[in-house]
Amino acid sequence: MADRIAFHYFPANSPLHRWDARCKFFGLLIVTVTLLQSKISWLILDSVILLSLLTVSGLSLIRFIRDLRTWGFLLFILFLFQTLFTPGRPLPLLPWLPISAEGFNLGILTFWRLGLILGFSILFTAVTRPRELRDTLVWLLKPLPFLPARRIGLMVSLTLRFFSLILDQSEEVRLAHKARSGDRNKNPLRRAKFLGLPILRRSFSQAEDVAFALAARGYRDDIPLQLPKLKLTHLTPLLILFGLLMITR
Amino acid sequence: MPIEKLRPTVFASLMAALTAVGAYIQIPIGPVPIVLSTLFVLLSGLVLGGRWGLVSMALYLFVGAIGMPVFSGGRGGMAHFLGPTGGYLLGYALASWLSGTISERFRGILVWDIVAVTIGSLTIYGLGLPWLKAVTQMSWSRAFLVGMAPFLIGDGVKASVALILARAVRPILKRQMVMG
Repeated sequence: MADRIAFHYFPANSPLHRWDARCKFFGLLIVTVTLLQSKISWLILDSVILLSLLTVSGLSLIRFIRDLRTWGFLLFILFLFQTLFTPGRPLPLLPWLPISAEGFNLGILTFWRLGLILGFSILFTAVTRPRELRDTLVWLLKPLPFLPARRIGLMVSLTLRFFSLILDQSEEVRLAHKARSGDRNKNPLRRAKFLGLPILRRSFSQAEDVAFALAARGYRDDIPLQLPKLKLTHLTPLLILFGLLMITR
Repeated sequence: MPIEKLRPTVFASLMAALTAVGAYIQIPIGPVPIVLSTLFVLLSGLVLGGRWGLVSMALYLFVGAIGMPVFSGGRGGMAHFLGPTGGYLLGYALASWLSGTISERFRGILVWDIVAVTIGSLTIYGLGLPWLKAVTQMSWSRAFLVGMAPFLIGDGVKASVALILARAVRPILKRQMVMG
């Protein structure tokens, strides 16, 4: 198993772990909306919130940053792309560079914004049990008619669980492939077969185990949902965040 | 619930997760990046069939809509659907359903599997290109140059890989179902 935080639940007893999953979910949605505005003030505030929540959660900051580093390369390519291909004035300090001031600013904003979206999502899955997320979705979808809310909730939590499992497996298969000098073959079709097939085979085998485990535990769509009443103390941080969003609109 | 009903539910979740992983393997070349997701879109149809392929892609879109970073480059949220790539995302669901339905109807026949992935790939553009044109106010020729032409060779490779993987995975699934 890879030593990653990304999209894994990390059991602990921090206030963030104990915070009602419904509030965490709506908190994540509000944060996503604030980040879409691409305002510097919100980016700074969201960064402070993320760092504070990370400290409260008790998760290792070093491991968290190391996880984000995996995506750092991807974000850096996006940054380069926006910097190089956005027309505008040359940079005042480095006019000989083939990048524009507008492109540089846009690149920084995109890098920052996407980094924060990833950071909040990783934190959310690290402090929320898959079962809690499933129950939150069932609670949200239940009022909608003709939708199998429990099944959808189960599928979403399974998707996130498989997502982290596939990332772990891909790393294991890639290392095993490299150890056998498989990375020297540059043919994409052969590589896809020798890398993709073991990952797919393992994934389907694990999915089959999950299906059996669910059947063995008597999974049913019609089990009533039992969630505690939302407490005001849990709602308060959410209301403050929502109020801030409304004020700055 | 019997295992026969649970299995496609779990497999559809797995395909949605694979599509999300595919979205992280991207090359940004313009407003529309090259992503590996389309491979899994076609694969979901070929392996799960039309109905469950559609379910798996709808699930992928739903997970992205609720804010999880499963779209290209770690993006997520409802607003992503309104962006230049929104049409491609909706095209995923239709492509998976179409390729799955064709492949299901002519199961095991290679020629029809090739037809299925070709139609599936084109369906993604069928929704993605008009959407890109409408959102970015480009001309049709410019939208074609930015949103389709650079991807055609890559799509050929991805469709071939989807075919190879589907034909290798189907016997495994069949065996699992017989043993289950």
